[in-house]
Amino acid sequence: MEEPPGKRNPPASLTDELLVEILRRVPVRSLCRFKCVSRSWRYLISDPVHRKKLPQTLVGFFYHSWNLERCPARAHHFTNITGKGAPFIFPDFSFFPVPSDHVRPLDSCNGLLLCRCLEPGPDEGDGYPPFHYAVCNPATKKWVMLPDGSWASGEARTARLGFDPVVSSHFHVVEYVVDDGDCVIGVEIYSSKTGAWSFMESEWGNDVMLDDEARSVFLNGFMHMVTYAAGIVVVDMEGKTWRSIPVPSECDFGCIHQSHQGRLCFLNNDDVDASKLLIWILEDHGTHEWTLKHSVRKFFLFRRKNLAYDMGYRVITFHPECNLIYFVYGWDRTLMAYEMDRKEVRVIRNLGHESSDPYLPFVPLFSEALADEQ
Amino acid sequence: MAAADSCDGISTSGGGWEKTVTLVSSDDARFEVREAAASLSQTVRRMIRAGGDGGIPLPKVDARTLSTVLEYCNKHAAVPAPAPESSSAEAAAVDLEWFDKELMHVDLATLCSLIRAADYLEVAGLLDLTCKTVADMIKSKTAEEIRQMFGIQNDFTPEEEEQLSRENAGVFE
Repeated sequence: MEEPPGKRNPPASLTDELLVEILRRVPVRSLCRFKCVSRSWRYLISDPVHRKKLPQTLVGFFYHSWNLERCPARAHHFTNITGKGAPFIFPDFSFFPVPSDHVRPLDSCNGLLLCRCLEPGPDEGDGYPPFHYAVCNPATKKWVMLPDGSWASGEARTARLGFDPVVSSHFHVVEYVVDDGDCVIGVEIYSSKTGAWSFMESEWGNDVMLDDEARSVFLNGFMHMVTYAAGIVVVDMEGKTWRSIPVPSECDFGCIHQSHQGRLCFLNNDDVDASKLLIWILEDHGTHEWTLKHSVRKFFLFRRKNLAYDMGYRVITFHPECNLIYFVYGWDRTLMAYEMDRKEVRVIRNLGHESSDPYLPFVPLFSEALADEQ
Repeated sequence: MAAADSCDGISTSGGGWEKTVTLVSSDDARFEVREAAASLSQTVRRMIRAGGDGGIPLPKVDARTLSTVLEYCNKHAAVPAPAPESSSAEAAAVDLEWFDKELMHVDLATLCSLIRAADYLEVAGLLDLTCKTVADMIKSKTAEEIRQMFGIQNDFTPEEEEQLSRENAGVFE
């Protein structure tokens, strides 16, 4: 270390720890490329000790399949999109204290998974079986069972997970509370910091009905959810700020995702020409101004005509690092990717017609943090 | 003097009396620095507390690198803390940002020396700044360009290289 700078090759004399300090500050896309630099760089980047610090990216999707001729009829799956063959994650959820087929994954957010764990016992028939919410990190197998909230027996409200490890190691679970007519009357939010649920009355106005199968977007501390006629409803994790964002569509039917630049995206069928899929970006949350980012003919995507939105395909996520959209399409539930910049469609694999929603994108999180974990 | 013998001077700067310390580089150059500035280094701060004679030896940092580190510390310790959101706070932040940018106009070898020094001296702000600068320098480079910059041999077999590029093609390329 004493030698004057420039005489030797100083970069090579950086310790692994200091090299990691540099590498943790490059985009994950560069990091993937740098695995090809040399063996030592590849080991450095893949080392379990270092990968806790290094940025990670989308590795695949959780989903389940259903087949009555099989026991158990419900099975969990994980499909890998990194091109490395073997599944990255073994999705048996054996770390939970309930049988695997009693686990119902509901949502994923930045490395954590929100599940319902059904209580063991015979199916009582009426309504949803008794359950507890659990949040787990499939990469570290850490999990935490949440205390029960105020829901009635047999009730299964729409619930979504909010977690951003850059901001906090704590997570939130948002449950949408609805009346008899399925209109939202409030939210019940669980905070892993306080370890408690709290109910907040809705300030979105009346007649807000959720598209409860749609993905939510947790962005800048706000949970975004698509409704049937009230645009996108937004609430912060204290239940203090309530907003609605109008969507750029007359028929108000679409889905939301987070773009790779961390912006809110809305996808819908063109109101005028339903054979076109439009992709909008919310540039400014203050003015609610949407910019049409991309438009593509569904015929080009699927080689079929007249596909109504949602009938034959489902957009499951945007790649967090590039302009790629992932779809599941058709009878065989074909997992496909569409590259917007190059206008290229790529078939990844058939997930099989028994496979079913939700297809939950997964970006592994190797840090130990999972508040109050078991 | 409360601290220790290593606090071997008192200087007048900005009209006030300030304690100074002497830092000694690996090549025996001596730097007299305000204690407030030197204390941005956690390593130096601990050594001031521990006390000692004839200045604080820093055997892992040469004079050229140390002078840049101290330039950073002097500037960052000098910034007063005006009320946040005031116009002077904003101006000070802009000035500091400008200063940091100018300081980082150096080659990769110098940056790496600064990273090692910032790590050894535990100057968190400078470590972040230098690592960010190198990260920005390398993030758009190809694997081959990285090998050249860092003087690294490509030790993959052609088959492994083929396999690696296939793995990457899965997502990005």
